[in-house]
Amino acid sequence: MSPEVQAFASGFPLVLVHVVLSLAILAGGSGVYVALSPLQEGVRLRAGDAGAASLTLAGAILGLAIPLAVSLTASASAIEILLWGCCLVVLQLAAYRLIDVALRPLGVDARSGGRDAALIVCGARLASSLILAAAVAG
Amino acid sequence: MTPIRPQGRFPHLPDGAVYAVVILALVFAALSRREHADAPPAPPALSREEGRPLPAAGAFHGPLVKVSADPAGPQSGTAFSVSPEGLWLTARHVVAGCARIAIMEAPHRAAEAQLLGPAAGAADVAVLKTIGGAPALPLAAGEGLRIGERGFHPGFPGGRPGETTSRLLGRQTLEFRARTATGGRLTRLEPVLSWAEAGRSVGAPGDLAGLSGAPVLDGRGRVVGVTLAEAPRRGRIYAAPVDAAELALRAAGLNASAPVSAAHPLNVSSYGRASDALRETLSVARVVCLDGA
Repeated sequence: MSPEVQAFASGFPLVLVHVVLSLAILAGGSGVYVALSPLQEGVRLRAGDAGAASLTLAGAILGLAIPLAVSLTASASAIEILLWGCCLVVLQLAAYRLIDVALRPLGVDARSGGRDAALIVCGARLASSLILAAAVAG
Repeated sequence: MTPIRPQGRFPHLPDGAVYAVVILALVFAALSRREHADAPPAPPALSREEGRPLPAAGAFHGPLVKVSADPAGPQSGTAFSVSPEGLWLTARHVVAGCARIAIMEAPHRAAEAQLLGPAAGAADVAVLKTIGGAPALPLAAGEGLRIGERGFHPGFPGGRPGETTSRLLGRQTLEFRARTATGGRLTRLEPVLSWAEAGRSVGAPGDLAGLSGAPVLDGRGRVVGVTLAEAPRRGRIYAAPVDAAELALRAAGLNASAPVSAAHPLNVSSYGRASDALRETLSVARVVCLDGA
């Protein structure tokens, strides 16, 4: 067996474990977000009101994925991925909440606003996720 | 978007309060689970306290130079002796671009050192040569490390005596970015050992700058790596494995298995005193860059 095949054989199962774990954390975090979000994207999407809800939900999921991806590159084991991933999801969800509150005095309220407000909220969420990602880059 | 009333089976939870409670719980868990294997502050270098060992007579036989004692003075790191004939290992980035390198013998006195081997090696480990040397630390060659194994890093964080202890997390690949002599950017991938910091000497600075080049000692006092960098937000210390140190010695045309003095065991309760002893005998010394190239 060539060294390349040997490295693949020993590394690929580990890649699968780490990817599945990260995706599970992303799915769990997205589920918590949908369940608790005051924007009620889940309810709106089921009701066919997809416009602004799809934007804020897409921003929320992407914003969770960015720090998780950076943390994955800096983690050496599945336990580290789990520990840091769960903490990052909670911090990111709290950041979303703070952003919603901070933008409201500026007249940006995704609960009652349209796509423009949703776009601003989405951008702010992604900006916060980039900062969080840099903080755990290792 | 128009407001929609909750339609779920459960009442809508106040999400902000939920996140705040979880974050507080995580902070509490992190602080309560943290190991506090801290060491007492290192004694001042010129302590005349009764009962302290008499500092060694000059270890170096070559010309000495006068150096500022200010810890924030010249660019500095840590080096350790691997041969009493005057061979030292340190992190390459500590001495990169240095026209004159010196090993500190006393707060104001240093012996000039030469960089041996190629200017750019495969790993971030450099070999230095002085005229005359200090008792050498043994390399733990060819012996496997265990996950969770404890390491000790005696050195000069922030240019002052200090040390940390850590536990092995595993292997990792670090990305080092540097500028080449022609002004280009160079990115180098380097396999390293990743250690979780478990304690440090009281008063050691937060980012541990200056500990680069310090030996990573196992519980038997043998060198298992060379400290390279710290990621304080991830609670980690990165070190080159001992194989990289052996390769650097071989690249400099030296024998990595030269006879050395016996290793002294270290543990969590004694590593502060053991580190002081290593600094007093100059087995672990501060390396400074007297002027950049």
